[in-house]
Formats: sequence, C-alpha cells, structure tokens
Amino acid sequence: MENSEKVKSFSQSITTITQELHKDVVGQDDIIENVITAIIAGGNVLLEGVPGVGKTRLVRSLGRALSLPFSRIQFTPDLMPSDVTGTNVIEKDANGNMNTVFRKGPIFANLVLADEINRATPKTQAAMLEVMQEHKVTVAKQTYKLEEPFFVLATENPVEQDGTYPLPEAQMDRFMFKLVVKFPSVEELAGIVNMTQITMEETANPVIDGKTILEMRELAKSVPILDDVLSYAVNLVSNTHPELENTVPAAKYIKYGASPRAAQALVTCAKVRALMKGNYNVSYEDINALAAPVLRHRIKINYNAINEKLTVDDVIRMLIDDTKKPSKITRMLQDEEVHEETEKEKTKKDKKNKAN
Amino acid sequence: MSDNFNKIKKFFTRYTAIKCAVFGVSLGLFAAGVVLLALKLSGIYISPAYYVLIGVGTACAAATALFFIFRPKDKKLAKRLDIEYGLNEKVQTMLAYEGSENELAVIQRETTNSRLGAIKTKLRVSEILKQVIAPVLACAMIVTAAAVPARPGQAATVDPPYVVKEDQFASLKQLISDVKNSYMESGLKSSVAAVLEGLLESVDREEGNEMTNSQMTAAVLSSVAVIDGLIAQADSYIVLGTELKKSENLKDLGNGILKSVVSYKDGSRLRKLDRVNEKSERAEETIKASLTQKVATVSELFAELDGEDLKKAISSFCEIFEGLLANTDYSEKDDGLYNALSKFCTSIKEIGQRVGNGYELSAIQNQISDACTTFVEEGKTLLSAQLYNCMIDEFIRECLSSIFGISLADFPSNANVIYVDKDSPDDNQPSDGKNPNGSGIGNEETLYGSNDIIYSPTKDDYVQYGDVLSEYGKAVRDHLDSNNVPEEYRQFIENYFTILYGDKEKEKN
Repeated sequence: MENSEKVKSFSQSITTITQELHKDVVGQDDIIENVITAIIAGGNVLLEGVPGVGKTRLVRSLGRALSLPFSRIQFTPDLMPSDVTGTNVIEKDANGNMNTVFRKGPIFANLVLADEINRATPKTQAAMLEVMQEHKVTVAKQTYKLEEPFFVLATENPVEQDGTYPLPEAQMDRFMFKLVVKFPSVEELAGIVNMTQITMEETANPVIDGKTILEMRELAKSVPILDDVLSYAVNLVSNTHPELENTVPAAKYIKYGASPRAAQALVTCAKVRALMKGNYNVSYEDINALAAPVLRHRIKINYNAINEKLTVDDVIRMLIDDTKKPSKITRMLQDEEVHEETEKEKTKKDKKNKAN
Repeated sequence: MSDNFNKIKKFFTRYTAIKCAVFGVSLGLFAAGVVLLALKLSGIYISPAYYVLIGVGTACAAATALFFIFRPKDKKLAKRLDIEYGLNEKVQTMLAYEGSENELAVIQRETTNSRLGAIKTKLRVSEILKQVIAPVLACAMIVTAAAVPARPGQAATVDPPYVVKEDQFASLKQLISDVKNSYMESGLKSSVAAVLEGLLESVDREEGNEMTNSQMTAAVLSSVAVIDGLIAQADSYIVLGTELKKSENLKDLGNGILKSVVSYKDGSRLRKLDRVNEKSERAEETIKASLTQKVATVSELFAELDGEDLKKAISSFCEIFEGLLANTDYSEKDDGLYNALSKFCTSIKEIGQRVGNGYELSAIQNQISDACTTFVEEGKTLLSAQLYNCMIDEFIRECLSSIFGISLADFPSNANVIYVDKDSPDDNQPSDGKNPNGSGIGNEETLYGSNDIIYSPTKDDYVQYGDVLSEYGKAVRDHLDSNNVPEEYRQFIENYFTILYGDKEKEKN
C-alpha cells in the first residue's frame, strides 16, 4: 500500500514544514496552517495585513521549505500587464540576426507574492487574476504554461485606501482564502525582534518538493467525507443567501452570498485539513475552522450588520451557529425578527421618501 | 463491520436491554399497584394471581416495546460515540464507507477501529442512578396500595368461606317453626320441616369447618328442590287438571282446577306465615266461585238434552271422564282430589242411568246440579289445601332467599305453579270494570280488565293481561332481589303491586 505510506507521512510532512516556517516566522500559526492548506488544495490566498507583519518573509520561507522558486511582484498604479506576464523583445543573436524572444515575467514562478494587488489598475489585476485562474500566460498568441504547483499569495493593505483599485467581488471569488494577518502580540513582537537581530535571511530548510505537493493534493481528494458533513458545508454556503427560502437569522445581515466556488473550496480544503491533522475523514470541526477564511471575502454584509457593529467574521460565526440549529426553531425566530425589521425598514423608507 | 464497534454495540445493546427490563418491571409493579389501590378503594377483592398477571404482562409488554424503540442502531450509536468520545465523525464515516475499497477509507476504518478499541465502555454513575428512580417509584406505589385499608363492600371472591350469622340461624329456625305451625297435612309438614332441619344442621358447622359460599348456596337450592318435589307429590291438581283439559267437555273444569290453585298469585310477597294463612282463607272463596262457574259448564252440557240423547251424552261424558282419570297414576293412590273427581263422575254416571227410568227431566237436571254442587264443596276444600301447599312452597323460597341472600332467579324453577290456557276466560273478571277481583292495572277511574289482550314478550304471543301480570310481578321481584335497589324504592314498588292486587280494594271496603 504505497498510498498508506504517503498518508502516514502527510501529517508528518506538514508538521515539519510548519516547524521550518516557524524558524523564520514568529506566531501566525493559523496563517501558516491556512497557507499550507491552500497550497496543497491548489488555491490562492489573499492576505490582508498592515505592513511589516511578515507576509513576504512567509512566502520566501515557504519557497525554501517547499523547494519551489519564489518571486515577488510589487503592484503599483503604473504596473502594466506585461510587467507581470512578460513580453516579447527583439534580440540580436550570435549571428547578428534580430529575433523575437519572449522574456518571462515575474509570474513565472511556483510561489508568487503579489504585493498590494489593490494598487494595480484593473487591467493589470485582470491579467494577474487570469494567470491565477488559468495557470498559463498567453502573449502574442503564444501560450506558456506555468509550472505546477503554482500558488499566488496576494496582499492588500487595509490602511491605505487612497489611490487603490479594490478588487471586484467576482475576482475576489478566485481566491480560496482571505486571511487577516493581525499585528503580533507583545511576546511575538519580542520574538521577531530577537530573531531578526541574528539574521534577516530566511533559514528554513527544504522539506518537500513540488512533486510531493502535487501527490499530496491528489491524495487529499480521496479523503472520505460523511454525507451529513457535506450537507452541512453546502447548507452553510447556501445560508449566506438571504433571498433563498428557509434561510437562517444571520442571513439578514448579508447583502449577497457566496458562490458555489465557496462550497467547493470549503470541502476541498476541509479534506486537506483533515489529513494535516492526522485524521482520515472530514469532520464538522474542519468545516467550521475553514468557514471564515473561505467566506469572508465572498459575502458582503449590509447596513444591518454595520448598524449593529458586526464584522464579517461575526456574521460568519452566527451562520455557523444557525446552521447547527434545527431549522424550525430558527425559522420561528426569523419570522418575528424579519417582521420587525420589515416594519422598521418600511418606516425608514417612508421617512426617506417624505424627505425627498 | 469493525470488531470493536460490534463489541461496543453489544455492550450498549445489553445495557439497553437491562434498562428496558428494569423500566418494564417498574411499570409492571406500578400497574399492579394502581389496580390494587383502585380495587381496594372500590371494595372489590380479586385473587392475587390476577395482580401478578397484570404486573408480569405489563412488564413484558413494556420492556419489549421499549427495547424495540430504543435498541441501539448502528447510525445512532456511531453518532453517539463520535459525540461522547470526541471522535470527530470518525465512527460515522467508518460506517458510511464500510464497503469502500478506497485506500484512505480502508486506513480510516483501521484507525477508527483502533480508536474504538481504546474506549472503555463504562457506565457513568449518574446513568446508573437514573435507572434506580423508576423501580423506587414503583415499589412506593405497591407499598402504598398494600398499606391502604380495603373498603368493605362487594366482595366478589372466587369461593370464600361462608359464616352463617346468628340472625340467619334464628330466621331459619323461625322458618322451621312456621312450617310446623302451618296448615299443611301433617305428613307433608313433617317431611318439609325435616328437610329444613337438615339444612339448619348442615350450615351449623363448627368454627374452622365452615361451608364455602358455593357450598352453602348448593345446600339451600338442594333443599328447595327437595321441598318442591315433596309438594309436587302431594299436589295432584296439575296432573288432574291437565288431563281433564284434553277433553273438550272437561276443558273448562280442568282449567278451573288449575287456575284455582294459582289464583293466589298476585305478585305480592309471601314472607310471613300470617300473610300466607290470610291469603289462603281469602282464596277459598275464590276457588269456590271459580269451581262453581267451571263445573256449571258440565250441567250446561246436558241442559238442552232429553231422553235417549241425554242418556247417551251422559254415558259418553262419563266414559271420557273415567278414561282421563284412569290415565293418571292417582287411581292407585289415595288422592283426595282424584277421589272427589272420581266420585263426581260416578254420580253423573248414576244419574245418567236413571234417565228414562221414571225420573223427570227436571229431577235429572237437579240431580246433576246437586252432584256439581257436591263436587264444588269437596273440591274447594281439596284445592284450597293444595293451594296452601303451593303458597307454603313459595313462602319457604322467599324466606330462604331472604335469609341466605340468594336471588330467586337462582332457585330452581317451581314446577308446582303453572300458567293456564289463554283461551279460558278468567274467573276474576270485573263486573263493571271498576272493582277487579284480582289482576288489573289502572287508576281510580279507569281500570283495565284482566281479560284484556296484551302482547307477552316471554310467550311471544297475545295473552290475557291477567295471565301475565303475575309473570311481570315475578320479573320485578327478581330484579329487586338481584340488584341493589334502595329500600325506599323497593317498598314503593311492592306497595304498587299490592295496590294493584287488592289491598286497595280492601281499603275501599
């Protein structure tokens, strides 16, 4: 049983990778775990965090641990699509002939850090996102396939909003996860300072290679999942849509819900997570742990949530709680609250109309 | 299926079976306790075996049903194990992918099986304590039911001992005394008294050797049957009256004999000897009137005849008369009524022989009339005596029923009293409809005559009212005997029938 060896070493490999990454990154355990999950699942990650929290370092260290070439693209408003994908240039060869040669852009790597992607123009963003989706580049009718595994870690700076081009929701949907990198705690900051006094270079050792990642990806696809757990994952995504029947109370805080990609991402990543934890089946815990990273960039909260000072993560937590409860009780509560809410909204609308 | 899962399943199955058994037994005890308490408070006693049956039946049914409902099923057990032992859906997944040959599914099964092997199936103390509650409650119910004192009342036991009380003894002795003081013929009186004395002896047992309820009832009913037999032997009116009814010319005489003896039956009770004697005295005149009327039909047979026709008619009449009397076995016994009838027949026969031998027709008619009158006088006395015997028989039945609390409906039917032919006119016909001499119903102004025709459900035929009133009266008495009718209602109903049958007439007079 060749696969049994691979299965048994899966969890061990992940542990080793994590240990190596912790040599270069202090804290951020959830981020590291989710990034590894995304890589193995074959998705891309959108990181949101203030500058200096270790986003670039993480990807560099990851490249070392996974023995994968790494590149970094700093997005600026004047960055062109060809700056990302590459372009044809005319070169004189040894014989003095002028030939057109394709110069590969920074996208041609296994691990790509797309820094401050929201600073690039929509055209450049679209070029980037197209590569993320297709894993190939087309320039002058010539298609260049990217080497697998291909992983993009895009970042967004939540502080600077001036001069940025927020990613549209349809393109946000292409990211498997959105992870929020918090400012390190005092202890973690102390650790960072101590570590970087010694060296600023990444010290992670190679643990596995790209081929192994692909094997792990294939292996994770066959992790068993119970029908009830699958239904739970599907219901969780379905409950983000307030326009559907039999929705849950938390849906009243959502303007629009997640796409079917969310359900796919949830289940795929849950299988990877199960293996990473040394389990051989997907559980409710896996789904719940990945709900926030998968959904937070795919749902949009409405003014009800803003009024009540609820964040997206709060709404996702409510969705998780509601999805566990029996639908009957949930519906009863919802009916009362919706009725009240409808009355309030009606009154507001009437006032607005009168004012207009 | 995983071995360890099967082991755990067996454990839970056994545990569920024990739980269901404990609860079933508790429910059985509780049910038996409830029934015991209810019956005790109602004053009803049943054999303890029934309580055991109720308890065991309830326990078995409840335990079986509960086990069927709560027996551990694979899916439910898997879910329970996942939740209780924090296995994160491992067991449920193992079950769902039981037949899968996917490598990961196989590994998942193996690892889950190992995890299950590490589970020590132990019952929590709280679980064990929960099972104790139901039996405790059930025992409390049984103890309460057993401790509550039984309410005295209708004790419908299978066959408890019957203890004859002092007043019952006294009443039975009084009855024997009454019989001895009655006007029955001495031989018959002694025989009947002897039967009653034998009954007294049989119920007078030493303490610890009492009769059971059924034995006592059997003794009383047996005594009644013997007394009925003795009186049946003494009374010949049924046999002779019935025999005479076979002839068209003697039918009225036969009916008259039969109805004379039962003429005392008016629905009233015969519980006192004085009442019996009083009624029998009144009945004698009634018998005379009835006989006179019936016997008159004999002379009417020959009233229009003369000469040879008369002679032939008398000869034929006597031949039939003698033949009918000879059919009975009283020809070899010294029976008074038989002798009187035989003498009457002989008289008529002799008168017939005188026809055409120098006697005038009027003289012949007078002789016939005299013979009838002679028979009436003799017959009245004899039939009165037989009527008295029947009344004493009924008096004894009433008394024994009252003394021992046995319903008259349980007594053997009294063959000494018969119903008469519906065609024969009732001699108790009221003259003007206002003063009926016997059977009748109505108010002060309008009384329905006893010869009015009504429908009798028991006979499924239309009969004269007077013929069935006594039957209705008996049915009412039987109902009063066999049901718990309050005394004031019983008295009211008895008064009603008494008024109906002549006491009212007495008051008027």
